[in-house]
Amino acid sequence: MLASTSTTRLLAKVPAQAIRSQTYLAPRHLVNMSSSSLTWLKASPLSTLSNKLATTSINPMLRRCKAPFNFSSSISISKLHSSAPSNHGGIERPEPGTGVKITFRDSKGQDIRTVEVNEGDDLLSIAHEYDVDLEGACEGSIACSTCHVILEPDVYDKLEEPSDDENDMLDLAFGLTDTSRLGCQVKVTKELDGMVAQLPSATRNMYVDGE
Amino acid sequence: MRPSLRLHSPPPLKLAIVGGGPSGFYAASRILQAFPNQPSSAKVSVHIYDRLPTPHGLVRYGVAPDHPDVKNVEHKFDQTLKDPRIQFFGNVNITSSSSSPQASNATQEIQASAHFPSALNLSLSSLTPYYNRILFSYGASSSRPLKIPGSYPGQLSNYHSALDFVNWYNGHPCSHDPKILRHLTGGRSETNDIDLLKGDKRHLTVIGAGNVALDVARIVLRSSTPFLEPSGGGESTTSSQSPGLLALSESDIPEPVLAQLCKSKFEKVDIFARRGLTELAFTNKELREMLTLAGTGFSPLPASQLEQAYLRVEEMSKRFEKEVSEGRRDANELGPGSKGDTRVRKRLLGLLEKASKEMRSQQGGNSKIWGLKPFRSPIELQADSQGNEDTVASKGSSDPPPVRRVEWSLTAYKQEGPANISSEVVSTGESEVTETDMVISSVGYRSEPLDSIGAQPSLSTNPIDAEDRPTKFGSNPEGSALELEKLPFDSKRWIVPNREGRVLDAEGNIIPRVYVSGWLSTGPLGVIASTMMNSYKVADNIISDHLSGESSREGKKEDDHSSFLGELQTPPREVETSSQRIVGKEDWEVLNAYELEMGKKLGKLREKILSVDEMLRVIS
Repeated sequence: MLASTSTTRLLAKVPAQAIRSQTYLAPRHLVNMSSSSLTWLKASPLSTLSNKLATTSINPMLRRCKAPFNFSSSISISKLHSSAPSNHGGIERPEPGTGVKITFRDSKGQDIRTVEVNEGDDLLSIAHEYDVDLEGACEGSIACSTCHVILEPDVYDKLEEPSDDENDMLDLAFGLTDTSRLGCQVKVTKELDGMVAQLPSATRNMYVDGE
Repeated sequence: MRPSLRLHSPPPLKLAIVGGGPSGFYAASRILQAFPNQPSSAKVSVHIYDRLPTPHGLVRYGVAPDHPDVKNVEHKFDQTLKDPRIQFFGNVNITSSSSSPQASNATQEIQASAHFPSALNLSLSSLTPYYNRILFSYGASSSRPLKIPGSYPGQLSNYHSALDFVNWYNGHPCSHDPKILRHLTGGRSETNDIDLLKGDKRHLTVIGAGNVALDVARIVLRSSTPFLEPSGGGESTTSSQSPGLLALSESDIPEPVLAQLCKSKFEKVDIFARRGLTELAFTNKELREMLTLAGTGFSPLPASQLEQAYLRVEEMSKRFEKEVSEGRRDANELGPGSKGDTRVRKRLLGLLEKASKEMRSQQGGNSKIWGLKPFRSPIELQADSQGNEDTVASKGSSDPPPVRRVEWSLTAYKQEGPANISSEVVSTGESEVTETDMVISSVGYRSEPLDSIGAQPSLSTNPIDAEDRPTKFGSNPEGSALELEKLPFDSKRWIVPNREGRVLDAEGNIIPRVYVSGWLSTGPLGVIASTMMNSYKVADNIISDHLSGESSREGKKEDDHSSFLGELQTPPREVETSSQRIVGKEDWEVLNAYELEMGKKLGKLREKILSVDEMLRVIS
């Protein structure tokens, strides 16, 4: 929870409406008066909003600021705790210090978290176990592309080639790269210790403007 | 200085969502997730409305029954419904509050209410004051009409829209509910007119080359497969890999539909595409499934046609790369020629090439066959003998003659000079006639304006091109409740005009606090994942607008945007006092459990209840 304790940070997401104007009137709730310089953190929008919604000390100050609109940030969301049931992956967590280390990274290259897992677990279940927001709409049955992750080339090469079924789904993935895989199909081995799984940026025309 | 209370905590969000399909549910789940459910946090309440008693929209009524894996998304929707901050109001048909004097409007509205005779009709003006934001996500529940002679209602039998056919095999009340059908057919019938059996039908013509076209073709081809033993044994009986009808018989396909499919003799399906092999719209997953369908062969494509398509893909790719190197395009752009698009098209052509080669070398062995016929655009559907049109006319509303032939215009790519590669085609002036026993047109779904939701939910109609009507919006300077009377509709693009999900009025200005998501906002394209992304984005916009108290680009501050009638949980008065049975989320749980139990008894995943009244009986 990035902001829950901080009073010196400004966490904000630029709403989509700023795309055209490139200027953005910062919402009053998102501006902190004690911060003299505005820092735009690369926080995921949902966590940002979620944090703001939980915050009780909000300062009523309006400030005009400029910030680039970041289109791709919307899918790297770290799940926040709400009454919505957490989709835990149904896997066992290893004793600390004994597991294979996996790092999840957001689309902009910031590490979300590093976790320890057992061999044989798949990246989708791991993500769900540790509240990393990979969607996994079809629950690992290779019927969607929402658990798409991007691997480092050397890690990608260590794995077996994706199956035809997986490739058919990768066809539909947003922000496909040469080292893309479906998280549900990547099983962790000791060989992969220290690997990074990056969430894709939604550069694909995911949002079709109604205009 | 004491900051006002309101600033200590963001105001409560009370959101109405019109349409309980994937888009509405994904938006709802995103919003609930953003509001931490803690005593100190901002409050949120989400009310999802659907004109059917059941939630899940096209996941329940669109996704093919032999694709149970895709329906796993329903688990997330049901999880979302478990949240105490969300309510479901099924069997509520939201209508425009039109007091418009225009006769056509009035007629449409009467029809709309009539088609869901058991539903509560609730006008926007009765609904909106109870909320401070509203999201429309009612999707695309109509089909794009073919608009060629023979395709108009009542002209020929054995011609259906893919929507009608899909509604039939998925057990949609619009295809099975006697009351609804009576209204749809103007009192002529209480049954649908889909008949796979009468007249020894063998050949099916499918017009259009998207995933729905393949769904239709696959279901029909599976249908006439005798019950084959599963290969290898022990495999999942609900897998789409199961041979033939087995994949259906244990799915959630309704029993009456299965009974008809079992006796079907269809053995050949031809899928006609207006454009070439490079423009085929279905995905590789669906194509691969078709090509591995048990007992079903693929009519090989001419090698020259495939080669031409490959060259075209190469050419588009080279052109794209050139434009990137010249700085005229972003390498991450999408569309024809881009890296992603080239990968998909090459893989698709590879599948077709491999299947064509295999089929050429292996003659026989398949009881059924399907084929792709590119560069053919339909110009007329014809009955048995020449001059039959007169008979049709004189017969009036009695049984129309069956379709027997389709006349096609042969097409070719439009030449647009050396600098462009056109994906559009024009007629070559030549034509061709093919024989058939049934025609299904799968040329796309279409959204309807809120006015006429329900007006023509499943008939292939001659469209009444809705005119741009003046739209009235409540600009209530004093009050704060949300007042919306009509939902704008772009009758040229068949969507609700919007900017990033914020609904626009006729002048292109954002209407504060009114949103649209999913197919209603984009047009009926893309898989569930794209709808999910879209809905998440719109949900984020709803939240950020709510937090900032702004919803127009101009930064115009709303008046107290946090107000609404009643308490956070209170639905509109008409809902609370309705004499029609409203289906809540606990009711849906009962209905769902009932259907699953019925399915279990039959050895199936689920047995759907086919009529609204029966659903209401089950929960009473």
